[in-house]
Amino acid sequence: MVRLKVVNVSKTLEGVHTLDNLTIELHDKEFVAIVGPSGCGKSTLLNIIAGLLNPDQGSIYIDGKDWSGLTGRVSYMQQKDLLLPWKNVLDNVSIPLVLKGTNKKEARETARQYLQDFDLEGFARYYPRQLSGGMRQRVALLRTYLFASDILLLDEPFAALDAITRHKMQLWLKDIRQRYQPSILFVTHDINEALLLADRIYVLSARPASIKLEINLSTTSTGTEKQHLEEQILAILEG
Amino acid sequence: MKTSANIANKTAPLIAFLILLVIWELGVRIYHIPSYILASPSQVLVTIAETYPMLWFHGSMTLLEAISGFVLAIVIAFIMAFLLDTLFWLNQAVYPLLIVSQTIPLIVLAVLFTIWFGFGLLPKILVVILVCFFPMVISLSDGLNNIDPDQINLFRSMGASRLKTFSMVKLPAALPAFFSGIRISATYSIMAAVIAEWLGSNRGLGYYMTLQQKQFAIDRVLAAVVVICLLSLLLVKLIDLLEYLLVPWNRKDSFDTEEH
Repeated sequence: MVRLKVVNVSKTLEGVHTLDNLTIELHDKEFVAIVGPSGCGKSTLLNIIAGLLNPDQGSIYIDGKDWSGLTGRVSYMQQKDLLLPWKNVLDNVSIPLVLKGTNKKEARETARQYLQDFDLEGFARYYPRQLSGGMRQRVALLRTYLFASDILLLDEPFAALDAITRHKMQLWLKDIRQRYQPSILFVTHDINEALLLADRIYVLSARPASIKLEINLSTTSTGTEKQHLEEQILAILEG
Repeated sequence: MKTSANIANKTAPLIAFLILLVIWELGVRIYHIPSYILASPSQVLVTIAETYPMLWFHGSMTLLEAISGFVLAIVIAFIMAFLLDTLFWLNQAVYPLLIVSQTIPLIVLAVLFTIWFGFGLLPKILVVILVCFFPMVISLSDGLNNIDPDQINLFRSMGASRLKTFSMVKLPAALPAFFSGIRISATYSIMAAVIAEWLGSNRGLGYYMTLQQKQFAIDRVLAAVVVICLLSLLLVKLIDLLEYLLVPWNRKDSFDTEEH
């Protein structure tokens, strides 16, 4: 079942042709990675899907309904954690519930139930600046999940972390995904990250971004096959 | 290390101040400077003790004018900054005018206000408002403008209304900047009231100083100056306390003391 469909989307931003006729599908409970060189317009694509930008051409369909240019349907996590420094962990993750009209106390109670799964047990009253980079990203991810639990857009969520923390977070995300089974569209420029996490990968070209390759990983599993894929993707990104 | 540096930070200006007072005291005594030219610190201290009912009588009026004007200026600045932030065209039209308004000499305005509104409370409060309002509008406006656009986008992506985004993100984020403007205004407020009184009134420290200065009672003029300094410092400290309470996430010292 297709949850999210990007159909023939093109976008020119400040005179720069950024996206060129992109068509992307995200199936139910699927983890799709979008890999592309830095500055190729991956974030622009997510901004369009989230409804923050209007596409020049093409449309965004979610569950068959046209959501082009409309916000508030999918949850969107950007590279920066964007936690509010004056709110503690619990209040930060409660924000999406409060925005949807839940009263503060109920929102906190709902959010509290997830703290353990997100490895935040015992940190409810901590402020963002007291947390490590990995923890902040987990808080941001929980906030994202609590806004819309079915379709998540993640824009290089681990890019700013050190290598060890990043790897831990990748394994953790794998685990979380198994438990909650959302549909995830994951943007990264880290090929290994995409190979580790995704069911399917779209490889984008440099600007204007178009799809160069689509890889289905659900059938590939051996190390040599992945090695081969990695070289193939690298060749495209460098080419 | 950190604590000893902190102590040095606080004692250094105090020692410098005391040395200055000693030099002043000795200078006046050694060169026998007449008291109608310059009073010594000790003499000013004695004068404060002797005339404090009078200083309080005038000082309380000055304080009333300064605080009324200051509080009104905070309210006006807040409304103004909110409107400038919400209405782009207003920002374009009014922001430059705000800057130009600051080039009008305060003294002229104080005189005009006295002509228009008489010798009472109103013209003084107006002067205080005009002086205090500007740094606060500018600092709050800048604070509201300097917010990470991604932060706003995040709230937009969650379908938050503009008002919700303002109250949940923009305003709290701009509070530290607003407070730095409020602190500057607090130091100006007493002075502005004194200047307004100086140019036409029948009560207040400014009025008191014009009287004493005409009689060459320099010790009394200086006693009033000390009171003005103390009142200004008091206001600033009050603002610091308010910021400490209202902007707890921005406290400079709390990071080290809180447990991890």
